[in-house]
Amino acid sequence: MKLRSENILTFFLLCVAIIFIVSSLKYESTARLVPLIVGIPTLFLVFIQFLLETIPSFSKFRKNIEGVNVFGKPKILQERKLGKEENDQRNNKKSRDEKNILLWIILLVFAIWLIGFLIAIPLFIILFFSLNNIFKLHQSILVSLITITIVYFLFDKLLGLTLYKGLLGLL
Amino acid sequence: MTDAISALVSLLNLNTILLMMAGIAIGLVFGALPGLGGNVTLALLVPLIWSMDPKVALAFLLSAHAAVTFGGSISSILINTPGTGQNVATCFDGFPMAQQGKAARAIGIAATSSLVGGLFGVIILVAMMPLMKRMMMAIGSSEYFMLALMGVSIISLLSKGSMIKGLISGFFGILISFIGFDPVTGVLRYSFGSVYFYEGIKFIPAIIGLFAIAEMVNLYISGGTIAKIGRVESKESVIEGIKDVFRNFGLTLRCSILGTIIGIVPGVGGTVANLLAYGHAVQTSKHPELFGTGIPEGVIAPEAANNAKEGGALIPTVGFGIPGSSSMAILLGAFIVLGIVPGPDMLTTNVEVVYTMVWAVALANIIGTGIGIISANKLTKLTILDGKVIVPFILILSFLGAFVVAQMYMDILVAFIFGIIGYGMKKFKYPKATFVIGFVLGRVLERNFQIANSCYGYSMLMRPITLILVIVTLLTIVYPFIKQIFVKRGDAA
Repeated sequence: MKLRSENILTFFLLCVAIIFIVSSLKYESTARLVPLIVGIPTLFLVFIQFLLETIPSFSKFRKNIEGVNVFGKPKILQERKLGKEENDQRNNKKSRDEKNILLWIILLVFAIWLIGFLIAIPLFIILFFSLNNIFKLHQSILVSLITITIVYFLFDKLLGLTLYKGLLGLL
Repeated sequence: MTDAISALVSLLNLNTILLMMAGIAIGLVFGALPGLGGNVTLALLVPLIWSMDPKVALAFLLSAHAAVTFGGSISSILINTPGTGQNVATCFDGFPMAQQGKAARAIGIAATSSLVGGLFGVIILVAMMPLMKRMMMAIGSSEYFMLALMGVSIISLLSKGSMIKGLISGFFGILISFIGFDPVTGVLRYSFGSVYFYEGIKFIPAIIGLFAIAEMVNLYISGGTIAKIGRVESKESVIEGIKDVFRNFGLTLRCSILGTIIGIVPGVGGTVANLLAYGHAVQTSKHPELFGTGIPEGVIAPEAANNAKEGGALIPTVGFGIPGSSSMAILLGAFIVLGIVPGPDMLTTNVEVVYTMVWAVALANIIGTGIGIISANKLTKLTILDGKVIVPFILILSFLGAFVVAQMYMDILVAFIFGIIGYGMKKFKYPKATFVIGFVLGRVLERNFQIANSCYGYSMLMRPITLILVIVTLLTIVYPFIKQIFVKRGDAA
């Protein structure tokens, strides 16, 4: 049975629900009452969802339950049917882009932690725009300087909010 | 009547009008910037009022405060980032409208329904003044509990379709809300040894991650512009947005009533108002399956309720000195600075001050709406910029917004983690709306259940107002199914 990322997510939710319920048992009766009232049905529902996703013979029930998604994507563009090769290429590109943006966000979060907002922000903008070939290097530098100036004056000077200086505290 | 007229006349001078406009501009900007919002706006403006005349000072503060909610709707619509917690439901349909090139129409809807809701709230404020005391004394913990339960029952409505995933999402939202100190027993729950979780997960960083960061991940991957059709609609669409509000005037009025009632109840808050109003719109719509795809009703409902709540929140604040919301608590501080004592005496010795506040909120709503409508077309240009140009700025703004809430780095990590969760929810079709509802109402539900249970036991459900709310909640759950049965019978016939 091949595990899809959807199955992994549902399994993760199952573990989280179990952790909540087991942790609740340690608390006094009043403190654990409502969490258990909510947690036990949650565990049951996640388990049902896990079964629907992993056991092939349950798939027909899944179609009935997940018939119409209330928050479905609006049909803005007509999507033409893709061939298998085109579909694989698309999925590979999507997977690559997912990893890319995740790395960029991790980089930004790490940079803020290490060197603070005032250095991380312009550095991030320069790297993001130049490495993604959106702007040339000198344009990226200009945009980053304008951005950090606005951020500094708005948050630090006007609002009096001290921006995080980072672990190294360079500024 | 003469007090009302003299209060209006006192506001209509150049100095006061300019100060009000400055307050509105500040409120719009602060509202649009995630993480700031009404509390920060008022907190930063209160020190400026020391030397002002009390009526002018109140007009200035209330103008800024009234504009914050509308400012928050602009960022909800354009970049799927609720500027304040009270605008989260506006994202559900406002942003999809922007994706369809209808951002100007959505802003027109938000501006107009905010105006109608805001004016309705102040009308109720004036009408309810004689009844304030009796009302406030009748509402207790069992009523709060039922209001929260009514809100949670909306999860079942919004789960229609992908039922199991919707309920899972909603229940997880409730479970997440239990992290931290239990407000009733003082027991520390689910902190896993971290001091950061003592106060639980903060709402704003979580929401910024869930909506803004998740959407930017999606925008980077999908490419293109926010407006998926690559253009924005012509100028007439702002007018179309205004017309939408009057086409759905019944919904606008009902949500304004709902918002006002929620505002009157202290401690429930604006986030609850906009979510409940959204749920009500879904419940009463002939086409509930369209919600979330970018329909006007999905923007009208929360925005009308948001602004109506402000008028309602002034009732307990002014009448009893009990703040109707956290921003009203700051306003109470402003009263002290100005030498005004809130309470029943406000309605006798200081009634002109009360009318000044009423007119200030009304005028701020009118002027704020005008500014919003005029600037709508300029603001919508954001939706046709290349997505990869916008992504880094929104990410930076999101992390800044998460940080300024409490100036803790951990909030940035929370926003990041919820960003991943939000993207996962979008990818695997777990509705975020139900999660947010559960997250907001979980604590309110538990706290008031515990208090009501210890005071009354299960006979709390027999209290008159509670019993009415029980019936309304049951109808909320059952009504869509009954409606479906009648529709099916009609089709069969």
